[in-house]
Amino acid sequence: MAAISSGSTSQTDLTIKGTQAGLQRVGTLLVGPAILLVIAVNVLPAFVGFYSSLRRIFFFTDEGFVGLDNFVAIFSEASTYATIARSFVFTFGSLALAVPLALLVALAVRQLGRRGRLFLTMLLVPWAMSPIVVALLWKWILLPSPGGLLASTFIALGWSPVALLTDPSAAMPTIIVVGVWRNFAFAAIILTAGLGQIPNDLYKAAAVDGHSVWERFRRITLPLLAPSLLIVLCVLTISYFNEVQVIIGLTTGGPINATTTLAYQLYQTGFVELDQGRGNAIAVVMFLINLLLVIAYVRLLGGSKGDGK
Amino acid sequence: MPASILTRDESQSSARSVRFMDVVKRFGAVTAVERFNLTIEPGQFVTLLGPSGCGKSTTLNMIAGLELPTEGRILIGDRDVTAISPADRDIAMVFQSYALYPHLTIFENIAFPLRARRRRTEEADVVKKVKDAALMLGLDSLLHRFPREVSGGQRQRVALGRAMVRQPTVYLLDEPLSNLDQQLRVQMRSELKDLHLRLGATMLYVTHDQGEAMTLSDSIAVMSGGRIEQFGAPKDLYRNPANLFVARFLGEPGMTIIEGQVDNRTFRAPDVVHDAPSVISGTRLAMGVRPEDLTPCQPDNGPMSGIVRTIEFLGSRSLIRVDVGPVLVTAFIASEAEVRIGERIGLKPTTPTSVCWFDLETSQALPRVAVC
Amino acid sequence: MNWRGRLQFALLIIPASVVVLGPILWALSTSLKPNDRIFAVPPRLIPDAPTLTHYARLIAEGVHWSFFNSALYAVTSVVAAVSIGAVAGYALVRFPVRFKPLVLVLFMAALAVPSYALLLPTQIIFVQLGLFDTRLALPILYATHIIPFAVWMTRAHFASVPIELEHAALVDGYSRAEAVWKVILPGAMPAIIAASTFGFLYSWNDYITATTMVDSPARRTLPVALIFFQGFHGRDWGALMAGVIIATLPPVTLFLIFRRHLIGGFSEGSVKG
Repeated sequence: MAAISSGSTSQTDLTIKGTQAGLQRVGTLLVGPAILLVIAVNVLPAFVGFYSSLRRIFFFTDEGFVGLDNFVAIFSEASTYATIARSFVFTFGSLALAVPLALLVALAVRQLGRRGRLFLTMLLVPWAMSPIVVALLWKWILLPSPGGLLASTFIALGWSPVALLTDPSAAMPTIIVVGVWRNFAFAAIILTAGLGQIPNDLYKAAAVDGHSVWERFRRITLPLLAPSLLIVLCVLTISYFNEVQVIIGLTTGGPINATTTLAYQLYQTGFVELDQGRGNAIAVVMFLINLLLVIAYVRLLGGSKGDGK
Repeated sequence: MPASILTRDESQSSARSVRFMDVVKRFGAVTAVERFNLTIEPGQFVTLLGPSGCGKSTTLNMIAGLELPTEGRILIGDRDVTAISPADRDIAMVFQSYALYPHLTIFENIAFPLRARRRRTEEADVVKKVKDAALMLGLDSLLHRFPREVSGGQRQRVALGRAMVRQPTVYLLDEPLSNLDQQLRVQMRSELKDLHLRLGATMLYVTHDQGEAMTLSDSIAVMSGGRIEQFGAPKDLYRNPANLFVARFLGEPGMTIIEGQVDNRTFRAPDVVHDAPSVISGTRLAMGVRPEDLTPCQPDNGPMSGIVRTIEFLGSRSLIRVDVGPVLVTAFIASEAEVRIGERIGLKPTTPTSVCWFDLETSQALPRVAVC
Repeated sequence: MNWRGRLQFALLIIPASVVVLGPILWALSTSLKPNDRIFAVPPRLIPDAPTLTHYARLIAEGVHWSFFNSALYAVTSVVAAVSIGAVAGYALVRFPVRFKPLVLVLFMAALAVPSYALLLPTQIIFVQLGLFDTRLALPILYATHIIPFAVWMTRAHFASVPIELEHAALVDGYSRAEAVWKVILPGAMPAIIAASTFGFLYSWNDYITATTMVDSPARRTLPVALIFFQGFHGRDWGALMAGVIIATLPPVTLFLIFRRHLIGGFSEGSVKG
């Protein structure tokens, strides 16, 4: 019989157990850098933001603790409420335009098969562009004098040119359209994937049962698409609520603050006027609203996954 | 279909034994393998047989080094490999899903183990070895293809080739045939057996298919719930099952088990009266008898009788199922025998020694005087 | 396709193409027109006297330096983020990590909440740390914002690869690291490409972080340079459109090349996630 050539049993057992703990150490080491960086760049500024919002800071010079003065100042101005209202108009106005469009595109892409994918690719080209560059482009197109595509066309047709970006009542719808132009196709990707999850047989069965196209859409497509729709709504809401680059590029908040949303106000106060204490207070308010929106959607999403199926 | 397998003139005196010494494997609170002790002699084909979840794959993974035992030691030859990495154990493994590298050609798949840096094989040597293995397995025309382009049976052979090409001391096979269709499976079984004879290596096989285990193995370790129920040659396990689990698991169709009670040297169960082995009156026993050990007789002439429920014509013989009390008894009969469904028929064991007895309290077989 | 299909196709595709691609083509057209034709009425799509003066003008103004900066920041951020992110994604699938559910929530949260609200305090921190207006500032920020995406996309992929593949490589004689490098990584390429492409688009296209973190012309990115140019030469639309085209070509080209990976990555991720 062969002799057993190794150390004592206890030594081997130690090695075995050691390796198990070692695995966890290696795992933590591998994930570590990612975790550290993400925490550093997200959590740290959050604390600094909260802290700074309670202080008076101008031009990077800290002038001391002022408690809730910044917040009081913000909320005692009537303009603040208008700004917040504009944020919601922009956000939900964009949603109202983007989501139906994305849904239409998703349905079309499903129908068109291979060509559909090409179609989707083409629609995504604006999404691949920089938002500020998009703004610059549209500023040129909407220029209310000869040269601007829209204006020149109008003039050629005998009409007078329209000044969309400098018209206080037209500015907001215009930036909404530009914003949606840029990223509605992204939502279409998610909805197309969601539609792909619905088995075709359900439609066939419904057709055999005598449902019309509209009824099939209402009773099968919409309910089964609900999770994807919710994801799209959540992502787009956050995206539009925080959108600032398009506004900077097109209207710089004007005309007469017609497009000054909360996001833009943060830019104006914190980065242009360099009133950083107050700017951080606005940031805190934005952060809280973001959080509320995310929680609301998570609740809704959790609910829709809970019932049905 | 492979061409006739060429003889390899490798002397396989390098085959090693495999030993488990008090091996235990726990996953948190769950014990997957318990007090496992097993010795596999060099050059043997040993199967770990059992239902899903019995711990057989975990045991195999421990030999491979893919799982670490919580306690105990594993030896390959006279080397304690318990804590050694898989790469250094000189073993080869064939996985249930074949685990072929999808981005490499079949040639590169088989060559992969030879090209590991620790082996330092010369490229010309690699090419020769891969080609030899491919030829032996009938893959030589497929070497430039990718795994997704060839059939399941061919992928199986590629997995075998990848294992063979290093000439390891121990082969580990984890249910390699279970993804193949029935016909291919039977064919591959005989090819594996052939391969084992030619290579002369130690092979450890895992399966839940008892027919496969019995065809291929020199010895079988029947496992259940993380422990070995019985270890021995297929014939021994078949004829002398050590407990009810082994008795039920081996054989297709399986052994009929009738539960009853001993009353004054007679075993009684519904519609069954048979001489009992010498145990205390009142002991509850199970009587086990295989279908090939029963012959039909007159209803009053045999120890058991019942109504024939089904008759399956199998060609060389027929299989009947008879309701004896609450138990459905299976028996083989000659295909010309005149038996009708619904008829009352008697059955008796061909020889008294072909009946196996089990204690119902412990599930263990009673010791027997003669071979069953 | 029957006539009905063709009609639907025409009614849908043609207007969509005009609306989506039209503006970009118009920008290209403008950038190639000499100044006296740009403001012509009625507008013409195809310039009858194309010229490259606007592009030359931009190069004279040093646009290639900002182009180079954008490229540098984008490439370094992507390389850093995808390396760190893919490693983390792999570790989350194959290793026991302490507080794993918490870690996953952390990355999901980082994906969900945009960085804009944190920009102001980040700027303050960077000024304090002396990172403001350095070559390091933007790569650090961009990389950290791309990491959650890289983790998300690669993790989904690694979870779908059976562990037997790695086991096979281990038994074949490779160390764990070698096994991952030679067997797992090649298969993860689509996910890595998707994450990299997205990361590049994110960095290259960003304006707000770049303009608030980097001041000097030497370290500026392309979008920032363009806006500065607009500040001084607001009426030079020919040059501005040339700038739009220069800024748009790299990301759109990359997008078109890797569109399947990118779209696939988001489709799968949204369904599984």
